[in-house]
Amino acid sequence: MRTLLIIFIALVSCQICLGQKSVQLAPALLKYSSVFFKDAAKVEIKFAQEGANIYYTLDGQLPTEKSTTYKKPIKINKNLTTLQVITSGPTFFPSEIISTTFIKDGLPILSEQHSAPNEKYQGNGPLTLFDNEGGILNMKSPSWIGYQQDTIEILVELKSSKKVNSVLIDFLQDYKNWVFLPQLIRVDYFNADTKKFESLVENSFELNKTISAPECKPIMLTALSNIVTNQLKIKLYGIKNLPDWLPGKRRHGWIFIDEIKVY
Amino acid sequence: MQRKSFIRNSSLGAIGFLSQPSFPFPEDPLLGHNNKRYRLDTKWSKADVATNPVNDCHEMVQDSKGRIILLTNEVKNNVIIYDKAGKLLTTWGHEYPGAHGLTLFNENGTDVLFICDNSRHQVIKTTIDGTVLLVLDYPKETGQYTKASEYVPTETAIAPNGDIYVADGYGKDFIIQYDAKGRYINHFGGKGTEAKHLSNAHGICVDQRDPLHPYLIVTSRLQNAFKRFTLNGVYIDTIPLPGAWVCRPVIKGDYLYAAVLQTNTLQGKQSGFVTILDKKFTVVSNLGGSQPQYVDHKLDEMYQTAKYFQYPHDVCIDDEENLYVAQWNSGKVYPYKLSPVI
Repeated sequence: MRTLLIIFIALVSCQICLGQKSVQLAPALLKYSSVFFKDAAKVEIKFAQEGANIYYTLDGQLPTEKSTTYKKPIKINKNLTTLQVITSGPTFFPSEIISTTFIKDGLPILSEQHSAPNEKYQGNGPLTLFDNEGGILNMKSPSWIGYQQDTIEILVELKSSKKVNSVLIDFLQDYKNWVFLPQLIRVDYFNADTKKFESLVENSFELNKTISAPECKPIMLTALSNIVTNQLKIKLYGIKNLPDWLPGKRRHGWIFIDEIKVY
Repeated sequence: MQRKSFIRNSSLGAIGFLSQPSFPFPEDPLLGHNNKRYRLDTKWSKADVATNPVNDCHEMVQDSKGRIILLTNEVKNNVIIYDKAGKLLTTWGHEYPGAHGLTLFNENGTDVLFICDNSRHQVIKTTIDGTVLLVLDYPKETGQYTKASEYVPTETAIAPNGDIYVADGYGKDFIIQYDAKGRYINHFGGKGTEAKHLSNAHGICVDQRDPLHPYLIVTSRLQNAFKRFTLNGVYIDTIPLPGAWVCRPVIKGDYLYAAVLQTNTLQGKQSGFVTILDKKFTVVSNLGGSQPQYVDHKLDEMYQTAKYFQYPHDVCIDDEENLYVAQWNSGKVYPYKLSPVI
């Protein structure tokens, strides 16, 4: 009888403990001026909830209560750094992980020309794609240029011929607003010897089968070897016919870009 | 039988003793800040989901008999009437598939309701038990609309003289003013870039806290703000609520209460909470949200801190200062009740 009583107490205690922890913390608020930066980015993390702490990582590991505790704004100065954050406290379940990728400026860009975007999403002038502004989830932000067409061409001219290895393009993914990654990205470079554009790298993408919340998707395309060039031609191929399970089914998908970096 | 009962009691006593020191968090959590703190009861509604389901719980009001009235877009029972203890008293309504806005007005001693229906593109005035008194179709008198589908009313507010203000929050964002009989008087707001314009004019109320100077408070949800207008539609000022997708303003006593559907930074992520502002429009408490902070008289961006709510869509404050929260797209949950902690 006594054993049964102890088991009963243990079980009910456990249930109460679970009950006590039945609420999950929300993710923290990340404050920064842009995910793109020239020398260094400063990130402030806010979470005004009594009894909760903020934990984060910058090395790609998933954050836990054993990760670094946030105490003061974080300085980021590497090329591509993903900040991952959770909140946790003894009387709550930990929050889901929130993450943002910060992107350092690449080789200096002289100018860029792109296919005419949709009239509603024209961006913020000729510097839009290399002004270090963006990473904003709101598709109406002027940091984005938006397209609803098959093929988009972007010609990037560097300030001088440089050794080039990678190209980064920041896309918006917002399924509910029919905004997707392209099906295919192709990057060609201008070969000064042959006087022709030649293939540098390409990558194709498949749709996720689950409709997720809007997010910025910085896509890094890295070539197998370095080349030297001062011009790159980027071609983006959108989704012509959205599948039936998506909002906007059978319509043309949108592509939104806010920044291009060349490394 | 007696022995079992004794064991249960003693074991609960032991648990209380054992668990309290290490788990100070109470079973019914305490939410909020300053003098506006509440205990949350998620099981307030005693309705049976098999017979009286809800879909989106859009809005709630209390009538002069003290009953709590819920509007849902579930056509099995668009209107569910509860007592304050959560007992379902009665239901009515099967013809409001887009039931969204619910406003109660005491018309010469008689309660009447105004329902905004998104799908029907109409505002319907009814008696408290559902008899239709007046239907307002799309406001072509304004010269701004050519067909009903352009008009998606989300909320009404009734002035002391009976004038009806309709917020076309999912349509063209105009506020349309009618007299008590439903005759068009005026319209204002609408989309645009000036301060007087609105973006998702989701809610509206008449602020009569200063009885000599009543005015309108209108939600501009995508701008994360309330905007004040005179009763004839002249813009007064903006009350910024950074980060917060505020729904309609609800005034009770000296305070303004509003459901926050979600936050800017976590859209589509069940990031809602409830915000409470004092008479000077200072945020004093966020239920499930961040402690309000002002720097140089400017409100810091607000955000959810714990997932007590998913997408709160409206609040109702009863005559005993209890607060009820109706939620949109939140797993068809019934409303929650929060009791003030003094």
